[in-house]
Amino acid sequence: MEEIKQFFISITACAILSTIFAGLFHKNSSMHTLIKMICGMLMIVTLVRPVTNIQLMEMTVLPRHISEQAQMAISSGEEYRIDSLASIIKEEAETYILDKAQALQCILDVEVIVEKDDPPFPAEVYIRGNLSYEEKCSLQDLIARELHIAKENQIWIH
Amino acid sequence: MKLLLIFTIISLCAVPAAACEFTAPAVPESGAMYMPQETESFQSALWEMFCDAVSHMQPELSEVASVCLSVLIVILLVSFISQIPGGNHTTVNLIAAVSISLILLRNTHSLIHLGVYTIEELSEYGKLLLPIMTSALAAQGYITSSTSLYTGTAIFNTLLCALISTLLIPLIYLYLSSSIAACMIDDGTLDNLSKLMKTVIVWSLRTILYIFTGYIGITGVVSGSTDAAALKAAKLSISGFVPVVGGILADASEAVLVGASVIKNTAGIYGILAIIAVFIGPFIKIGTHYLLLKFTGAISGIAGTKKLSDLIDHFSNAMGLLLAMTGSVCLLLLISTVCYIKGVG
Repeated sequence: MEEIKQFFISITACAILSTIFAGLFHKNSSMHTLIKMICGMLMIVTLVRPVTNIQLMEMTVLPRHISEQAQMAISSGEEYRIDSLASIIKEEAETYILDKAQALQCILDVEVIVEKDDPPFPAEVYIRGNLSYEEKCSLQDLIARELHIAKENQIWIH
Repeated sequence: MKLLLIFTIISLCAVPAAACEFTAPAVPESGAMYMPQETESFQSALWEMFCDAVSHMQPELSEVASVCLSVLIVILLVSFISQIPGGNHTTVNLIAAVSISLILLRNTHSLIHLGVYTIEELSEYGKLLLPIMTSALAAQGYITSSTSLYTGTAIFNTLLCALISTLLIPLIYLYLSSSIAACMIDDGTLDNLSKLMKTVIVWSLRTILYIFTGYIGITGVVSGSTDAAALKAAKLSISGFVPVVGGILADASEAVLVGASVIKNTAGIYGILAIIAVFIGPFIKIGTHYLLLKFTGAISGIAGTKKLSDLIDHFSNAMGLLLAMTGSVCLLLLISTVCYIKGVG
C-alpha cells in the first residue's frame, strides 16, 4: 500500500512541477517544447518504476491470520452449544430418573454425568437412596434401556 | 401440547445461561452520546438517534455557515476588483485561490481527521462484534456460513481500512492540492490529474463493495445449503438415538438453537445500532459541510469566475469522497451483521 501511495505522490509532484516549469517559458518557444518532452519522459519513468517493485507474497499472510481467528470464534460457539446441550440433558435425565423413582415410592438423590461429545450423552449416574433389591433392579433396567447408561456405569450409593 | 410446554421451559432455561456468553461489545465512546436508551424497538431507536444527531448539528451548522460566508465575501471582492480597468486579473485570481484554499483547508483537514478516526472506530468495533456474531451463528449449527462470513468480512474490512488510511486519504490531499494548483496555474493537465484521483477513489470503494456483496451472496448460497444439509443429517442421527435420550437430545438441541438465535439477534441489533451511533455524528458533520460547500459553489458561480467556483466544488467533492469512505466501512459492517442475523449470507 505504501508503494501505491508513493506512486501517486510521485505522479502528482511530477505533474505539478512539469506544469510550473512549462509555464515559465512561452508556449511557442523551443525551450517550452524541450521542457515538455523532458517532463513527459520523467512521467513515463514515474509511471513504470513501481511495477518492477510489486511484492505479492505479503498479501497471503493476511487470510491465514484471519482464518485462525474464525476457527477460534467457531470453536467457542460450538463449545457453548455442547455445554448448553449437556446441561439441559443432565437436568432432563435427572428429572426422568427422579420421576421414575417417585413412581416406585422411592426418594433418591441423583447426579447424571454427561459426556461432552457431539452430541453429548449421559455416560454415568450416581444414585443415593434406600431401595429394595427389586426396586433397584427395575430402576437399573429402566436407566440402561431408556437413558442408555450401562449398568456398570450406574453407581449406587447407600 | 406437553412437548410444546417442555420445549418452552427448556428455551427459557437456555436463554439466560447463554445471554452472558454472547453479548455485543459496548458502543465506543464517540457513539455513546447517540446510542438510544431503549434498543428493543429498532425503528424508535433509529428515530431517537436521528433526532439526537440533528439536535447536535446546530453549532456545526453555524461554523460551516461562517466558513461559507467568508468564501463568498472573497468571491465578491474578487469580482469587484476584476471590474477595475487595468488590473492584473491573473494575480487577483491567484490571491483569491490561495485565500479560499486557506479558509477551506483548516476545516477540511479536521474533517478528514474525523473521517479517519470514525473509520478506525468502526473497524475496531467490527473486530469486536464479528467474533461474537460468528460464535453465536456457529452455536446455531451454521459452521460453514459463519466461517465464510467472518473470513470475508474480516478480510474486506482490513483491506478497506488499510486502503483508506494508507492510500485513499493521501489521495484526497493530492486531489485537493492538484485542484488548487490547477486553479492557480489555469492548466488542463492538473484538472485531468485531479479527475483521475477522484476516479481512483470512487472506483476503489465501489469495486471493494461490489466484490464484497458478490462474495457474501455466493458464499451465502453455497455455505447455507451445506449447513442446512449438515443440520438435517444431525437431526436424523439424533432421532435415531434410544427413544428417551433421543427425545431429550432433540428437545435440547431445538432449545439451544432457539436460544442462540435469540441471543444472536439481540447482539446483532445492538451491534447495528452501535455501528450507526458511531457513524451518524461524523456523517451529519461531513454531510453538512458537503451540502453547504456545494451550495456556496453554486452561488459563487453566479458572482465569481468559473475557476474559483470549480475550486469550491472540488473541496465539496473531497467531502463527498470522505463521506463515501466512511459510508463504505459502515455499510460493509452493516451488511455483514444483517447476514449474521439472517443466519445464512
